[in-house]
Amino acid sequence: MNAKKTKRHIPALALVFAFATMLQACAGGSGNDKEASSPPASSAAPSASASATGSAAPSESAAPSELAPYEVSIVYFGKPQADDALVEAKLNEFFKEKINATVKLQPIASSDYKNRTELMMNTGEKMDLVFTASWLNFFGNVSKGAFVELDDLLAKYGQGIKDRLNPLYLEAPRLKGKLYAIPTNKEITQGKALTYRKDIVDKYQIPIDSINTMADLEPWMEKVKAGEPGIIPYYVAGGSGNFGGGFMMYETRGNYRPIGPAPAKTPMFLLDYKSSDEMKVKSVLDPEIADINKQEVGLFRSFYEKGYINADAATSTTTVNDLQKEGKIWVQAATWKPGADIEMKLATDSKYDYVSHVVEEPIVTTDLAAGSMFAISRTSKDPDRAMMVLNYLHTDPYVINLFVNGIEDKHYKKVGENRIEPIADSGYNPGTSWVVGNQLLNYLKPGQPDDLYTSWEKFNNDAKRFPLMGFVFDEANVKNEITQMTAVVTEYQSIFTGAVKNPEKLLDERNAKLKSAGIEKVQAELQKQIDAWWAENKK
Amino acid sequence: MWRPLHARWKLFWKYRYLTLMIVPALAVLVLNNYLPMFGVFIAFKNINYIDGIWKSPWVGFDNFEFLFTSGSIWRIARNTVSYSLVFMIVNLLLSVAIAVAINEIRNRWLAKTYQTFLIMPYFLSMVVVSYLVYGFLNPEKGFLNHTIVEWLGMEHVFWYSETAYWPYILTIVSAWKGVGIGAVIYIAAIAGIDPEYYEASVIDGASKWRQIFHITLPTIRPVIIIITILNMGHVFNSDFGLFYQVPMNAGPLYPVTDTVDTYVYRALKELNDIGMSSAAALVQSVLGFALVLLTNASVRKIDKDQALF
Amino acid sequence: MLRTASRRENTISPLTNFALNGGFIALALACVLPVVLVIVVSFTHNDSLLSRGYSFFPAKWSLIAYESLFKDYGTILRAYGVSIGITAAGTLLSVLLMALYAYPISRQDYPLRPFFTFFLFFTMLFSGGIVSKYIVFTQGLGLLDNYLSLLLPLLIVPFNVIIMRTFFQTTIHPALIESARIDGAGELRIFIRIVLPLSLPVMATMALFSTILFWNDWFNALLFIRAADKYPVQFLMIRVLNDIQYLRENVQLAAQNPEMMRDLPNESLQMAMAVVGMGPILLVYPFFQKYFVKGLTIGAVKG
Repeated sequence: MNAKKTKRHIPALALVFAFATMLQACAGGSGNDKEASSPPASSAAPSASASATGSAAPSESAAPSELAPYEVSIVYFGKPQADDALVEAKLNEFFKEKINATVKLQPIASSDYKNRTELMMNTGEKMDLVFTASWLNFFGNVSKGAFVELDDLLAKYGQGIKDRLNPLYLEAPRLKGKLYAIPTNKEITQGKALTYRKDIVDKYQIPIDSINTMADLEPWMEKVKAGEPGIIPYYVAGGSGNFGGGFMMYETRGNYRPIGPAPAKTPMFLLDYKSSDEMKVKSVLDPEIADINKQEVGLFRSFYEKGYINADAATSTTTVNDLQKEGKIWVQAATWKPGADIEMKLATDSKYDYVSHVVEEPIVTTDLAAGSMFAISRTSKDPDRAMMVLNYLHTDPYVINLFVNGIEDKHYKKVGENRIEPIADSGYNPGTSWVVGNQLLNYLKPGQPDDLYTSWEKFNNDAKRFPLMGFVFDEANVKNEITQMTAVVTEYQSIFTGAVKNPEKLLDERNAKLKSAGIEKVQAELQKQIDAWWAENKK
Repeated sequence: MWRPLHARWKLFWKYRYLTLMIVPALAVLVLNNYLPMFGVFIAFKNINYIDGIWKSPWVGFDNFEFLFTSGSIWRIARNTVSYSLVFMIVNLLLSVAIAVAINEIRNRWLAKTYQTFLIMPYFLSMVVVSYLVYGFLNPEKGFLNHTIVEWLGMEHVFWYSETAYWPYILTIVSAWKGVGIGAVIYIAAIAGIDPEYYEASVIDGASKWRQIFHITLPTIRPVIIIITILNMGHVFNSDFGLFYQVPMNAGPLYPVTDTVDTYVYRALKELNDIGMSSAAALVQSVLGFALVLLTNASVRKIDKDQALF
Repeated sequence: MLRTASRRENTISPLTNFALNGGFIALALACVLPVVLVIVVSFTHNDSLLSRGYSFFPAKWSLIAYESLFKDYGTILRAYGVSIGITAAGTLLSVLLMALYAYPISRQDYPLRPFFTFFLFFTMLFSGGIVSKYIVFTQGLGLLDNYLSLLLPLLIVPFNVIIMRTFFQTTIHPALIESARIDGAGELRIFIRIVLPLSLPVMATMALFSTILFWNDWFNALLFIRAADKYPVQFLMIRVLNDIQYLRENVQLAAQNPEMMRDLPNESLQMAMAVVGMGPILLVYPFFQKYFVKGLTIGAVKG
């Protein structure tokens, strides 16, 4: 009887699957049609651009009348604003006149950005300009074919970009030698620094220039703890990703710099960037690297036990900014670029002044130089026009300031040649200056020094190039190993906060698990790819 | 049972109005659930954007590998299944108890007020719940350490690194959030009981307890059984928010908080490979499906009318 | 009427009643106090939160959270409008459609019952995932920025339909339907005149569940709604909380681009958002509760 009953469901089940298969068949068919009617952008591009170059001058300025109207959608990382439509209309006036194009602003909030854009890529939705970055899985998406190649387009329509961008920038967003994105022009890299509250430094006469490691900081933690009861000697917020130790252990303890996959932002493979020209990768299992890790967790544990670190270090979620406003922070390990101290002051209601001592020489790596970029989606119907729009965003102060600051006298007041004052609650303040185009053309805001951009340019020019700059790891062969390493790493992140007992033992435990997760296989693959790359690109 | 075609048609025609009633919801199911069902194939493909979902290459069971070769597979399977079962039993017992008890409250206004309050936790999102739990357990400023633990003269407990407490904490949070709303179904079921049954039992001199065990519980039994069968389908799933947000994603707690869903989330956070995440979801579905069929078959053996199908 | 009914059911002793009430008061407090705490925190000054954590009696009160939230009150009001509209329309439609599906599959004599039960149950466990759904909704049905994309996914909740089926099966005696049919009533008439009135408690329960479901749904808005004037209020609020979670998990990124940290709401603002997001739904239960009436069955059978 039971058998008879189950049999009854078989038709239903079969129907369900037949249904699904049928769907696949017909949807697949329609997919074919779609592609037949509109050939993929990559193949369309040459013909379209050929006709464009045939009629127009080979420069960036194609006459508007000769171009058919086109809407360039711009998908970017930013909070949607009440007045997005107003700004869009203003941008349209401009682009209509110049290149007969309109733009469609599509801001996506931070938490959704990666998932939403990858969903759009997966479903083949039409996009033109897409914000992307190394930390948004840019290289993974390139290898899955999300974006079109830009070398030709840049040469044809992006001359202005090329003129202004530090050439180092364009070495980064490449896969197998081909360019797939245009970095936003800003500071090309960031160093690491210890940033102090200036009044505390003055009061205790702390010789910040001679404090180069976390260990050097210890005597001063003790003094501050004794003298300033309200202040947390060293603040760690494991609940919000600030795991304390590990943030600059390689930078302060040697010349090792991360390379290759860094699951959950934790470097797994390192390279001595000052060593000879032999590019030998070491993993965290290497005795020397493991020792650095061990010293670091030990140091933080001792800080914690001496009460220098907040008791809730493993889980605290309060942001440093909030505590800085309260005056509870006197030192913080932070990323640094020119103007960082003022930025920090502005971000915390200008209550205190800050000074930094840079402990790491800034180095340009692939990931940092590819930290903020725009690519052109393969679903774009007119990549030429998208590049033209991008070119304006990199070269035209009016357009870029319209995009990031809004409309004059409505969203900001101009108070000087190059200086503005934002109008509070005006309905447009997307915070996208680091996202779009050329930040060096942004109007300066209150508090920013006049020479901010020249100091950035100098910073970019002086920055040291990482020897493997431009190398990108292709993880296709070790996907399983990397997922498992990611899972292991996330489990043990909190051992760097100091709040966990026996961190050294846990570190060994973690490394054993990494080993069984296949870290050695990944290392071998990485070394193989580096060797191949180095043989070709050695400089 | 084989019937001649015309006889089948006749039967179908006889019930045509019932079938018509089904049509609108059927349309919704087709559009919303069955049309997108082709996504199941993604689990067997290595998706790239150029070929799209349809033409990306088939890779067999490659996408499933990361789950099964993982060193944590036993830990996450054990955690997922045992929490699911514990939550199921605890929440069921408490919901039914509350429903039965609230039915006995003499003052109806009070009973309504209790009910309104009891379902309130259900409206708090897990993020907010995690803040509240943190406010309770925070090692520095937390309510528990500040009051009860100090009052007992004990040392401060570092709740977020002690695995021993978390099975209880998670069970309490799950019950606290879900029992009130879960009881509503049983309250509705009890409301549907014909009062004549109670009257008859009073005449027979039945005690309150007898009434509960001989009238109330037996009448809501079908609902309890069907809910249990359905819940079996989700034994291999876990409430992501409960296991990820509430323990603040604290690494030292993973031995008791890591479940299939949090593991997959963590492992795929960076790769964001839809093939692999679909594969994990498909495994959960297939296992859940098998479990429901199994449970259903056992229920059917005991009492045919109570089974799902 | 309730009083007499309960007396006939033989009431509990005053002592038991007292104990029962005591227990329920404790439970109710355990459930309501955290919600109260959330509200209190939303009115607490951030200085108090940082120095002393959550407290029912904060040292420093403040309205800043609500002031900054309602600075843009137009958006919030419109979002409330969207939420209320979607919830009302969705609940009505949902309960109707689910009942229409649940009733036939509750009838033992309906020959297609096993098929349709399975057809429904199957969707509870298997789904094609977000990507395929997104393709169907945006490319197949063209529902981007359409309110239907917020309704459709939640109209039929298989779990609820099966519960309904069980209720119909247990509360409505087949003999009742048979006798109505002999009297010449059609299926639809039987459903409307007999089945529905007898099933008020379960209909109210399902309406309650649907209301909550539609009100709390933000995920479909995230997928399918691009136009800011069509956001439901819960989405508006949850999105900010999600952004905070995101930044927490990506502090380094945020540190490199401090603009991301700007305007980051503090805890009291986050709680205020939770309060605004919950809004009227907190007190939705009493509204449905009046349909949990006893004694329906007798009236119907006798009348």
